[in-house]
Amino acid sequence: MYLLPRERGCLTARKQGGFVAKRMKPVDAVLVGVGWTGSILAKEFADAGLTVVGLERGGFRQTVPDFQAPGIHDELRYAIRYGLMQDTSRTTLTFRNRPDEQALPMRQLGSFLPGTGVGGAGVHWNGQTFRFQPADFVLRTHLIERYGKQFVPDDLPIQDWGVTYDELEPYFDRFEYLCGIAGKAGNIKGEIQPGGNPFEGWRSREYPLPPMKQAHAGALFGKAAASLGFHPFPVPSANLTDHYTNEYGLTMKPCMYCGYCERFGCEHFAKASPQISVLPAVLNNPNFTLRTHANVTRVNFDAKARRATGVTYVDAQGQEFEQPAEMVFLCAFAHHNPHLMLVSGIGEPYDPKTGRGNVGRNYTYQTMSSVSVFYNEEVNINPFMGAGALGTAIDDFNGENFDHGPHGFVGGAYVAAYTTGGRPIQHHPVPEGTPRWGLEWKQAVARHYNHTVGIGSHGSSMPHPANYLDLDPTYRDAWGLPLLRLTYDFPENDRRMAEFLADRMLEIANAMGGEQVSENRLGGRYSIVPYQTTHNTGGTIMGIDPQTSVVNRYLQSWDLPNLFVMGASVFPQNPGYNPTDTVGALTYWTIDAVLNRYVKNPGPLV
Amino acid sequence: MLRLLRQLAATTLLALAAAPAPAQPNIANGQLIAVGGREGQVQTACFRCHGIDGAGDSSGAFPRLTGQFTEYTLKQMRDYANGSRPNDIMTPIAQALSEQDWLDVSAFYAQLEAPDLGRPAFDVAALQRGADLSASGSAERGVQACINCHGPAGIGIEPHYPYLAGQFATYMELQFRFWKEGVRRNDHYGVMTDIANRLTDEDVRAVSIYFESLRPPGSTDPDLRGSDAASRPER
Repeated sequence: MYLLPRERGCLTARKQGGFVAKRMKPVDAVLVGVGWTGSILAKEFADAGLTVVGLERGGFRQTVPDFQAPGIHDELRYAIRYGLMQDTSRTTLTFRNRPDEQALPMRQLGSFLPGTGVGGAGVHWNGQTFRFQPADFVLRTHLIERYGKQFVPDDLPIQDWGVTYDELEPYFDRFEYLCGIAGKAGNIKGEIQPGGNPFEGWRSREYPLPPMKQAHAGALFGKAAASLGFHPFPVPSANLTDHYTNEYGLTMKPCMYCGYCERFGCEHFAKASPQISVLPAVLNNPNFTLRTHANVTRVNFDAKARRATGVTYVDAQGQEFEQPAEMVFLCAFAHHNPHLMLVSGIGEPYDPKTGRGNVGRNYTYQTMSSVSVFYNEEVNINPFMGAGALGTAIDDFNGENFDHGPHGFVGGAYVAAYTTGGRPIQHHPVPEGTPRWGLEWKQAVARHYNHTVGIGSHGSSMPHPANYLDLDPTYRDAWGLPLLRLTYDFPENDRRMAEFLADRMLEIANAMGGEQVSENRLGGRYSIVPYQTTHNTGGTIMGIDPQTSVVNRYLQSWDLPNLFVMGASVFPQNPGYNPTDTVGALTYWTIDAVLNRYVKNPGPLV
Repeated sequence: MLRLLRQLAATTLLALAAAPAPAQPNIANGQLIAVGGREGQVQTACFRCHGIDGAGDSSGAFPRLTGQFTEYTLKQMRDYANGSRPNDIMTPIAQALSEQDWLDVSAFYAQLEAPDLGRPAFDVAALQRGADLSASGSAERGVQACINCHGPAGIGIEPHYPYLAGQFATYMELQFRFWKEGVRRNDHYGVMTDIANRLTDEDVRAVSIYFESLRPPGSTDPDLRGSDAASRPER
């Protein structure tokens, strides 16, 4: 094992010799972060009789009173000033496009929005709940089998996950039934279902709830897509469509289509989240302790670096604590899990010059583009009647649903017309050529606000040797730790994919009966400034070989067998879907392995 | 049944685009129905219970209709007629009228303004409890704030969420009872039924008097429109 000097992880305060960390009572499991994965682990472990401490860097919040209107509909506070997001004055990341550039710190969030606080991004997500495809989990093997060995470009370190779709299916099912996902199945045990997505992997049963009522925008898109021979279906949604009680006995309520999901908490108990779907069932369990405003700064391990001994964290007053634990679970956002491993000196950091090391390797993102269709004033879209996952999609050009042979790229995207909300500050579609401000702009906004449909492609992201995460040599956070440094640009493969998808989107847009169409293609370098998607993945990837992955197929560290890494940072590459369903499935998959195997016989599961 | 519903939901995917254009209301016809002046009209005129200005009364049986949203009242007429909101007085009346009549009479009351009737004196502690429930909901009971849907200060959100400000507490309490008992089954997804089942009688009373204490939209005293009684001295 390669280990960084322990000083890398030390706190400024400790260096000054002012404090000694207070040692807390040892527990069976400590969770770093209490979002979706942390909440589910807490519930399952506490029920199984393990003692669990959840450490959350942000505060506690719940539906009542924190997410109630009209306060939660404050678009300026939450959507523009990122009221629920990570505080960049405490910690952020630095960014550059290429390894030969100087990375600079992101003092404002832009391209993606990591959350903070209990519930994590499960509070402010939209609820678009897709499963990845069977081929996604065995991508390298699949591509070679289907197209031959030479098809996968040498510079794309595409890998198999080490777990298959068939193995994960029961866990996808469990997470979807936890959330009360509203959708229409397209494939039940191999039988294609009318009205659903015919390309999806098999599922063992129908969704727990029927799909959302489709909006006018989605209907126009679906009609045009069907006329071209594509296969529209309603997007599976964690915005619930009826009253629902999940396996933990928690009740959720139907969505009112108010259009305030993304970047907001839900006031109606209608968007599946840790707050309403999991936490009320565990907060009263004496086996579980939740500590908020507890910022974990290091994973500790024994002198021989054979097992983790717990974590060190700092509370809101700056006091340092040590929480010993038999097992450590990293449940933070996809950036923070690799960051914590790097600052703790666990595993070998990836070095793009030599290609050695795995921590930080295979950082992937997603590749988005969009088209707007402008209608005459007879066509009323009513964009304000929305929900985060209210959309109509086609999956004809995603993943391995089409033959890539003639196209020379890997991956794809789903294409969807979403109606997530027509909020006043952000929603002002205008055609190309409209002035950016002034009278003409205002007139164009008034003219087009209610008569425009946006469609977007939600594209995959393939890994590249020059895209990675490491520790910034210059900038540090409020706790004295080096910031995470992101080096990223769209690989050529993904640009070709995005171009192909943009052409397909344009065909659909032209068939939608509008007066005018404006395109927003992927151009130039990746810019971290405009919002694109929060689906950051990789950095602590899972796999079958310790030489090319950080965790094994049970998300267990190859180096420290009592350390587990949850969430999207384990994805070896990022398919063209929203990640949460797969994150949830992997969580239940790991819980199964931990409770049924690891706890009985601690040690490597592979 | 569930399967059938899912199939229906799936087939509505493309159906919404082809919805027919809404009919235009004839307010004069609505007014005639309201005053019982239409030739050959057999059903009771609206004004006999709801007043010619739609002000209603505090008996609990006759809500204020003044300025209530056309779409909302229209849906209630339809629901009285189809039995999802059964009512011995309103069901026969609704069944005797045409769809166009429902629209016309709803539109008539929607455009009225009515005098401010003043506020009854309510128990301050109960008002405070009602204000709290209306603005924040209740974490203990798992109930969201009323104003999420019924608008700040209960002014309603067009077209489907009725205003509550200035509505009679007695009427709102009766509706909560109907939801709880399953008599009234006409709100989307049974959201109000769920809420009625979670609130205690005291909660219902508190939130009802709170909304009555607010000034209704359509009230003729412009200084008092939509204002919050809790912030003003009692008369």
